[in-house]
Amino acid sequence: MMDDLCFRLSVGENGLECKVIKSGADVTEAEIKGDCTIYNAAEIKKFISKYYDKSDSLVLNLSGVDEIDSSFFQLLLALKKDAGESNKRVSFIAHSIPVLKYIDLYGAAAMFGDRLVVKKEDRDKFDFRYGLKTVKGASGNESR
Amino acid sequence: MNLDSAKKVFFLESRENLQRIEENLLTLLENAHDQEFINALFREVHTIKGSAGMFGYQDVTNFAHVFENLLDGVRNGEVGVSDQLVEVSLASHDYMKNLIDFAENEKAVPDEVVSEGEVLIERLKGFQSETENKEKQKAALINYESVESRKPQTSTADTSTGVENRYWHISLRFGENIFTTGLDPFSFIGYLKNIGTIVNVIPVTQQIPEFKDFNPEICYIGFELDFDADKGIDKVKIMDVFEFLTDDCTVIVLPPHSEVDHYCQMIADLPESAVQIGDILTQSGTLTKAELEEALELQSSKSTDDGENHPLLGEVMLKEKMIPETVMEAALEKQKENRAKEEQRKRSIRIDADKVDQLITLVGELVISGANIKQRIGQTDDTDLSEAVEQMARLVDDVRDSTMYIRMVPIGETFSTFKRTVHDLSRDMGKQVELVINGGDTELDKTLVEKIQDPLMHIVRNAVDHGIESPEERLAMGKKEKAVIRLNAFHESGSIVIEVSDDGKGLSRDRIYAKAVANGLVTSGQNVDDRTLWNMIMLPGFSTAEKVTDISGRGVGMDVVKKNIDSLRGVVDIESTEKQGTTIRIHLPLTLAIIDGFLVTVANQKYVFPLDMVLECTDVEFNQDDKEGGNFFTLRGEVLPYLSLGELFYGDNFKNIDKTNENRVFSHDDKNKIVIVEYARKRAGFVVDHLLGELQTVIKPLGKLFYNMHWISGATILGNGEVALIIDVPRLIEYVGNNVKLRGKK
Repeated sequence: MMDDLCFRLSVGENGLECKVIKSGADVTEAEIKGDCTIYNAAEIKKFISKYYDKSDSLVLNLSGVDEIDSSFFQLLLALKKDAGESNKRVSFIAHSIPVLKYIDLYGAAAMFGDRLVVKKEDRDKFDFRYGLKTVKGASGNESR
Repeated sequence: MNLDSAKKVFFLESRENLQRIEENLLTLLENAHDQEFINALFREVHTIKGSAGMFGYQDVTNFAHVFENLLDGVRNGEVGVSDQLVEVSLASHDYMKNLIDFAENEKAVPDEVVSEGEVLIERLKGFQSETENKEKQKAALINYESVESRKPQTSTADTSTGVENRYWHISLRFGENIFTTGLDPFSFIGYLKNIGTIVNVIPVTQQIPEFKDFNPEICYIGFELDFDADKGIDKVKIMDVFEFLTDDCTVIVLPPHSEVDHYCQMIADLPESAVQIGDILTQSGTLTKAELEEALELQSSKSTDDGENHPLLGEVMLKEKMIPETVMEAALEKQKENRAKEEQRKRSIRIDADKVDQLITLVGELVISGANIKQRIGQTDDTDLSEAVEQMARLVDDVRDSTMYIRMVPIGETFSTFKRTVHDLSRDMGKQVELVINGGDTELDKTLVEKIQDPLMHIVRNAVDHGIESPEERLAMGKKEKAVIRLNAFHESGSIVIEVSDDGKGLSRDRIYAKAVANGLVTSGQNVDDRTLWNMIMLPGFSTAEKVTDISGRGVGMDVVKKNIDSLRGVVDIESTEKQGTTIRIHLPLTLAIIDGFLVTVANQKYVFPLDMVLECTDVEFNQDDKEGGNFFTLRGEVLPYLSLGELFYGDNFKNIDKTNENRVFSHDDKNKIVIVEYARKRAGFVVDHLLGELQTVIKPLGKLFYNMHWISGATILGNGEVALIIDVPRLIEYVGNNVKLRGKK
């Protein structure tokens, strides 16, 4: 069942906002916004854990992530890795520029396998040339 | 942290860095090929550059950058060490010192200094462009080889065993707390783009646990990077990018075409299994399959002859682990050494000199009140109490000694600053001079060290300027072309002796004598002994230099030196042999504040002799000497001048005081108590009324009112509150020497 209700798990007193947009057994779609640094790392994990186990597929909208550090990148990586090993599907959509920057420099574009949308005017900010070319369990590499 | 205090530390440390730069440069002159010194130089300049940048001293950073580049070239063997190079480097050192001085005083750098810097930068770059020209002539291949040969590990290796990978390989693993420290690996890796091109970045995810066990605040990830460094970037520079990472992080940097062995060692050092890393390395193109095969064959022939053609990659890697163990041990040993050095450095702390002074004042008071208690306890019969007091007195002694010791610093540092002076001067004057330093670890009071520097500098300059002959003259005289100036420091009977001796032409007796006659100090034909004559050169306006140079010879030198040393209660002594050299010897008191004293009375007033200078006390009858009218007495066959302190201090009145005193206090015969003291190798006896014994003395200055008291160097407060005056032994000995002699001659 789709749940059209938006509700907030935690409101950002720390500049973080986590929302569930749709919640269901097959797909859960959620959005993480704001400050995704080490200060909120525990909070973000708590939020994701709550929905990760419940559905086969998790879609995270990262369009509102305006601050990020390596801890958040690692968290995304941990999700992807765990999903690959436990036959789940985790995808990230609508990456914000800061997220893209990390994925770019850390050579994780192929490893994540998500579709990366980069606006034309931002394209020269990125290389997307690092990382392993082929990744086990990756769902394809599309970049625009 | 307070920025101001951080800045203070920066200035202090930069001074130290600069000093070491200077020392290393001077050593480099003698030892042009010692890589150690070149490396050290580079590090020091690099440190200054880094910390100056941190505080925003852009001019220092910019200059240090150019300087550092040149030194880097030297380090890589691209630029040869030449005298010109050292000269320019020394000038660069001076310039940086200048800049830092301006920064510390918060003054704008004047234009002429700026332009001086620009000239220097051009000169520095001049050396580099030479290198670049040379480099252009070389083929690219040779360049790679030079990179290869630079690597310390592959001293014997032949480049053909290196891997094909023409990029640097960097492995990064972080401590698990790195995220919480606020350091983000992203910025380090991103920074690499400033010194080259990142060829590939592979995140290493093997350590990440299942999501339910995943702690988002702990760092599990690492990175494998391939990196194409810009020209001039070497291993140290790459390592420097990661210098802020803490000890629990692993940074491995492998140069292009490293041997397979080194990759194996790297794999062994990483936490992931060899299979996992091997996978990453082959897939990222760091190592080719063939190279792995090669490693594999190498390994199988080394360890077991299983004859298998395709053993598992992991097996090879694991076996590989066994090989580098000795290498690892050596590396660990080295690390241990470095750590020990680091700890040594951590053990010394910086203290504000005022705090130490305050402590010394307090200890002084403690010594006084300790003496008071000791005196009082002598009047009671309580043995337990007196034993306790005895013990306390001993402790007070120790406290005093170790407190005084805090202020003691080795003189070596001061000495080594003269290296530069001698080097510059002798170059300017076309002379060849070697400075030999002995006893650099002799310790003396910090204030003394500071105050002795200028006089010493003057003496050293004099030696180079006047003492040392030109190389031609020296050769003509059968001397070695290269002259030697020796700086010696040692302890001698309660004083520190600093000697500056040269093997130059020595003082000219004739010329000094003529000058002394011209100045009316001696009459023509008068017989004057050497020492008296030599000492005359320290009189104001006495210069025999034939030509006045900008270095010395204006006659305002040695008298100032003498005055300065006098003010430190020191004595200057000159020995010289014509054509063989001159030795100038400075005697300085050991400390300035607290001494062991020897208490005596003269006319009911108490006086203190510094105990270190007291040789012995004895009773003497003067009858026979008095008859001859000279103040001499014989002690075990040695004739010594003596002086009655009573007569000196009270003149004719003394006889009256003395009589009443003698009648009242003690009923001795006409034997005189005499204290024999020695200072600066001269001895004399002083007649006193009573000998009271030893005591600890805290020297208090006498203040302006007693400014002109020549025979008294200070005062001290006794246990009972009485004031005792401290005899200025050096001056008295000088006085006795002059006066008694003159009287004897009549």
